[in-house]
Amino acid sequence: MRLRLIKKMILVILFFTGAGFAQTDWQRWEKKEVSYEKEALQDSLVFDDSSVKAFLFSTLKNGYAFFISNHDGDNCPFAPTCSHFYVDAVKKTNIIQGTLMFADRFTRDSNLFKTLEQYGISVSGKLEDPVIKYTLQQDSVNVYFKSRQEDK
Amino acid sequence: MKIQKFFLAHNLYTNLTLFEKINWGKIGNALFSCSFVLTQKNQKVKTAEKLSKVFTRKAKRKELSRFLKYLKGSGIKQIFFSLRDAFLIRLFNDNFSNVLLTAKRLMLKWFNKNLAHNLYPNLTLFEKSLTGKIVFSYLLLLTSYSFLFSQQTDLFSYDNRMKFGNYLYETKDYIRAVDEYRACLKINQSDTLQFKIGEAFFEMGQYNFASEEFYKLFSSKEFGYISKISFLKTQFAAEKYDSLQIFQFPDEEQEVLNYQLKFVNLSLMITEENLPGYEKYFQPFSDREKSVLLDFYEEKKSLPYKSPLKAAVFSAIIPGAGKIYTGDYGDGITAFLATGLFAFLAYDNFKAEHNFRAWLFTGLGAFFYCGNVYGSAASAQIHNAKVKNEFEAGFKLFLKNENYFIPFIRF
Repeated sequence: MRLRLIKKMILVILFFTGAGFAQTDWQRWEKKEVSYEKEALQDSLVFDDSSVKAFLFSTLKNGYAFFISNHDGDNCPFAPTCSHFYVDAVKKTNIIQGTLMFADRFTRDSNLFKTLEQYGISVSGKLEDPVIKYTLQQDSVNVYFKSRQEDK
Repeated sequence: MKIQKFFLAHNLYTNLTLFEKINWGKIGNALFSCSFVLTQKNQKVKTAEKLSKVFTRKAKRKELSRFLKYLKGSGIKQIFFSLRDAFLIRLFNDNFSNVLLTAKRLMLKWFNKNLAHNLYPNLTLFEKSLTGKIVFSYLLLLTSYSFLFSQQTDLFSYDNRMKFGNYLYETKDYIRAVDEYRACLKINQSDTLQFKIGEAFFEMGQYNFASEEFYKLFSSKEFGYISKISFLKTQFAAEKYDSLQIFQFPDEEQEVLNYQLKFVNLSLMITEENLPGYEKYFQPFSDREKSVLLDFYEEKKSLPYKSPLKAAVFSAIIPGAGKIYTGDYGDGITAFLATGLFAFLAYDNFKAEHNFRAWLFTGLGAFFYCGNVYGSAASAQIHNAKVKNEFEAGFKLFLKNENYFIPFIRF
């Protein structure tokens, strides 16, 4: 009995340490320029304790990033990825509209026949699909498409 | 070696025709032999190096190395460097006589030491130095003559700068052309140059600077009319459609006002949702322009916009119908399948009285259903933005390539 318990304990500890020091595929394989200045990580796990809502939301996000996303690797066909999209959407609007946007994004993501024609290609070579397109403000959508036309 | 010698002699003779009065038999011979010796010495260095490899005796080696040292230390390099410095300093500074004097002194020193006894082995010390002086002062005279000649042509004169500016403008190097023109404007005020600066800024896409330049020319006699139209053109290109409508020219010319109306009406194609009536819109245009613009007018009137509200209502009735209405067929079908699947699962579980599972699936179904209603409204807006953007891009491309409306001047 004791041996089994110890085994389980070890497994649990191994799991958590693995999660803590895991490296995503993106980090592992990407070509990087060496810089000797210390910079803050873009996607660091920081808990926002400015309000109760923000704290709950950041724990959700960090939990997802820590337990699922970091092990899963970089598999989302869109840029920004679905989780980033959700965070952006909630930051730009409110939690209800953001969740609706995320639901829409989720259905579009599960569509197997996504085309480049529909979305256009982003800098990272993925389908570009930012939050601005779905805020239900015609002017900002127009501005987005105009800027993309000029980039071409 | 022969070729080298020939070239040296040829150069000297052609230059010396400038000084016809001087009797030039003796000195010419001296120069000739001098050049000969110079070329021969280089040859000697090379052969000496070869020889040093061949001979193995120490004594001979020593002799050779001494000879090479003698050649190296003879100061040929120094003289050429000092001459080069003299050239350079002359270019930037007027006070070069000292440099030239030192160069001359060095040359004489070198000549007396190394070459004089080769040319005239029987001369006395005084004569040696004299011949050296004659030969090299003559060389210096030649070079100083070329200095004098170069001083006469001023590269930065008004005409030259203008020519260079025109060349840059033709080769589309606008930013440097503007610099040249501005330097010309400091010397002499000219409306043509002012206008060209404006055009250069317009070509570069610097519309603020361009409109400033054109604004300066409003009171000009020759360029008043064309600068006003160019001003309107820059306003249109910079997408300042409001200021196009509001702007008032100091004197009211009928033609200019007509042009302003034209530009305003063209801008309506991009800004307004609903265009004014046919007669009102085409009032300022000529018949030929009308026939070209009519296609765009009709296309703008019947652009295939889709209403977001309609799309949302369709999706609320049948999940995914709104997306199919806006043209996203794949998304519509997936939304229908997702909501349909969860609705069926919820129904089945309620029937079998698995209440927890049933409520879970209804929650998921509602999540997809609401998301789809929201998303179909958003996708209608995206569709509208795409349609609008495509039309505008086409219209702007048309104005850019088929330049019927904007006057264009070639210089």
